[in-house]
Amino acid sequence: MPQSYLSIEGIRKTFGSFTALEPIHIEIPKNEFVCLLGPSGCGKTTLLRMIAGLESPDGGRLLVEGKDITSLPPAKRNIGFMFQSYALFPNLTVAQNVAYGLKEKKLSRQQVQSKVEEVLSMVDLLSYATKYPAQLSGGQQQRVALSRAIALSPDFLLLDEPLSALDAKVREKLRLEIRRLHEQLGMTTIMVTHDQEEALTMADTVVVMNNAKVIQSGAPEDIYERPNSRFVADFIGAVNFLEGMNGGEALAIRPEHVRLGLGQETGSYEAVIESLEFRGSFYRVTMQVQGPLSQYFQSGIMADLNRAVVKQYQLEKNRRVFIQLPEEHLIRFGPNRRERLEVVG
Amino acid sequence: MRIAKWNTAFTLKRRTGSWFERIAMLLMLAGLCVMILLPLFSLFSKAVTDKYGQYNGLSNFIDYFSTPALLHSLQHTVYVSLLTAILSVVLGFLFAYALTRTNVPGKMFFKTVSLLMLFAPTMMLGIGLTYLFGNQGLITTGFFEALPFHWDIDLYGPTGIVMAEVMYTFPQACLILVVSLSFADFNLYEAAKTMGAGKGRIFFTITLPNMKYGLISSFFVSFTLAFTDFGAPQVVGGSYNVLATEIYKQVIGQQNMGMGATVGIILTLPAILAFIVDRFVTRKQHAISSRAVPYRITPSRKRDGLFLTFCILASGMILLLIGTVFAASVIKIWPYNLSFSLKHYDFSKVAGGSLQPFWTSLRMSAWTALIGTAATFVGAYLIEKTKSFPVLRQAGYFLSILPLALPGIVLGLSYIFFFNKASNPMHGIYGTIWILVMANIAHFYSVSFVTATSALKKLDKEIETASDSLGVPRYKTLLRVTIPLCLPAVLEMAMYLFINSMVTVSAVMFLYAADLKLASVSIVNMEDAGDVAPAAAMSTLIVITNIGVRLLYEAVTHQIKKKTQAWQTRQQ
Repeated sequence: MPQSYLSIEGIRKTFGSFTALEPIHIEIPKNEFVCLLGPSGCGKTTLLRMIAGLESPDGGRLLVEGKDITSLPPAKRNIGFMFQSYALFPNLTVAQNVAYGLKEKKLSRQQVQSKVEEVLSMVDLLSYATKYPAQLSGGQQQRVALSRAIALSPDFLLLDEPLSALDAKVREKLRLEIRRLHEQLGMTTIMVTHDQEEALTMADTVVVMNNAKVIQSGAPEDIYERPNSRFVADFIGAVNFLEGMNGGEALAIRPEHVRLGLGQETGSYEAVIESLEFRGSFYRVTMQVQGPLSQYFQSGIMADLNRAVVKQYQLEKNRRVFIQLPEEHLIRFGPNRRERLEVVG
Repeated sequence: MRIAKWNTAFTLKRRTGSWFERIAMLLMLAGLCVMILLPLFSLFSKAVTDKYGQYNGLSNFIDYFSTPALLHSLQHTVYVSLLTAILSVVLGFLFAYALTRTNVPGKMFFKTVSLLMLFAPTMMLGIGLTYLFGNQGLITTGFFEALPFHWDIDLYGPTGIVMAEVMYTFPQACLILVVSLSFADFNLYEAAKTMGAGKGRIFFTITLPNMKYGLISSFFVSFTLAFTDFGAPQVVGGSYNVLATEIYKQVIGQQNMGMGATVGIILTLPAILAFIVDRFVTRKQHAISSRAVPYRITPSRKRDGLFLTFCILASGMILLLIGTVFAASVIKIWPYNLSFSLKHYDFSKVAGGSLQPFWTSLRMSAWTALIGTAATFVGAYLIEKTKSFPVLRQAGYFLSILPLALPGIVLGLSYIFFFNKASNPMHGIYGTIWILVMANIAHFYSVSFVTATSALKKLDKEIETASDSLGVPRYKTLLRVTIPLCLPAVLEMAMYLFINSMVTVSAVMFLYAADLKLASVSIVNMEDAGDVAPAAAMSTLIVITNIGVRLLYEAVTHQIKKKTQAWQTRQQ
């Protein structure tokens, strides 16, 4: 088990009668890339801002290597924070933005200059040093914000929805770039996002939050393959729920694990194709299960099938098929199992 | 979705600010209390005391409402203001409509002319009317007997007051209405046309409802301005008493402070009503849809012709009035000797005494602009951008917009009561230029406060937190980022404060010391003493100064815009 670097111990916050954060416990090892993932309003941004010191908790403690930093101002925490809006100063050039925090340190003019050049070349923006933010594209602005955040060589890089304002292509490129910087600089990075794909592709550890609570945390594969609750299963990727099958137990299965055949076999269900949706590399096939078993599949069942299979079986609307749900891919939640809170580390 | 909304509201909340911010906040509140709240309190307590300073409850008010002469002034004021508001809104609407919804040529010119009135003290409008319609007026005498007919409109009294007040309030109403006419969604007009609605139906179902709040707001603004104005009725009111002149008589003439305060409170009532209505209206004003399409003007020669005629008439009237005052100031003896002369600009032989009042006004206005801009901007920043003392911040906001409801004359009166007390530790500023500067800052605080606040609201909400996260103290970010970004608004505030300080008479007329007479006050005195031509000359000086300041502002703003082009977002 890796040594915990940042400990979040029972941090909580209420605003009036609204609970923004129930007591939260998370342990984060050094140099980890952690994503706080959840729907809007789940408290993830509040938590990030508390780690940054931009907001103060009602209770609980924040420890870095055992040292209590709960009441330290942001300036003393050695963090780099990247805002969702980037918060670049529009009247300062790219270089002046990056140098803004450096000037507060006891550094010579040359040191500031060379540091600015160093971080700008890391994000490949050295030639834009004298431009103003408004003269740059969205992706470039994002990279300026990123280099401003890492200019002070922070221990923690905190990113608040860093990619949400960008279009899809730029977003994919910057995912790699952020991940690369994280590895190159050896920081501990915490990123807030509501985009599950982003979390799965970038993070070492994903912390799924909902309604001011941590619901599950773990490696992306774990979270995807073994969600501990309906919420997590549903929030991350597509999923079929099988209602009350084995004596009331709730089961689920991912669409890519649903198998399809044309003949009846043991354990297969008869179904009729309702729609075929072309998704590029695969088809998403939605079916209605026939007979008495249909009660377990209230909202139908989805299967992701590659094009070869669809062609081979000549699948089309209203076609009768048989589906199988392989035992090893069934996700079990249990009828009365409470949504368990897990912690990292 | 409720939760999502909550969340964004929360992310704006920040840790409580530094001790520096807290001290600044307390200082600001103390300043607002001294400038506004405490003087007002003095006024209220004065209203319940008699001539000798004894408490007498509501008997001043009872006296007021049982003295027919006093009661008349209230009826007069209501009548005059109501008429002014109706005329101003109608004329302002036509003018605004011409500027926004027609293809009238020369819009820039008409707009500029309508704004000229904002540079003139209201006495000047009265003086202009005197020269046109007074006993020796250009029109009354049929161009000095050159025409075969005479036209006496019986200027002195309600006619003159309403004419002057309409000219004074018309540009303000017009400004509001231009704004509300510019926010239109052309989709609605096209939808109505596709459903076969005629022009009249479209006007009454789309145009008018859309600008309902603009109409209400401009009505109340015009009503309140006319209700509390002193300059115009003083010059053209004749024996027709209104509240503002009544206060002057009670306080300066009869030294009846208690009754003065009482009338002052009555004078404040419609302003407070307007204030409440305005708050209510701005809250109800729904934001226009982001998918709205700007209004496209359809060609119509008939409509353009009609509106052009109207614009020419309205601008002609304004130019004629101002031109007459300019002309009268350089004519030897109106109307007998029309040769050119600058002798009226030598003020040494008249009631004003010398050119000194003009210099004093300049000095006072410059200080007001300087200190007022700094104080208001810092005040707006503390209220808008800091997070300490939420309750006190609310109180600060209320005090900052309260002056909007305070007529200058009431503020001036409150200042005498408050600062003239020997027991007041600030008694020392009484009789100096600083009490004038302070009264002006208080008088014009709200508008510049709102200007600063809306400029600050436009900035990224995370500028302060970004500065925190980079370990830079907030005051540095204020100086290095926030103020440079708000520079256009700062200049606008300074210009507004300067121009209004130059023309105002109501707040300062009780407060100036004998050796610190102001240009606007000297106009009142000269006119009162019958030295109308020198009064016209002084008015001309004020208008020219204000036009100069406005041009300077335009030039500087233009330079800044050019210099900071690279900051502005490309897409916009």
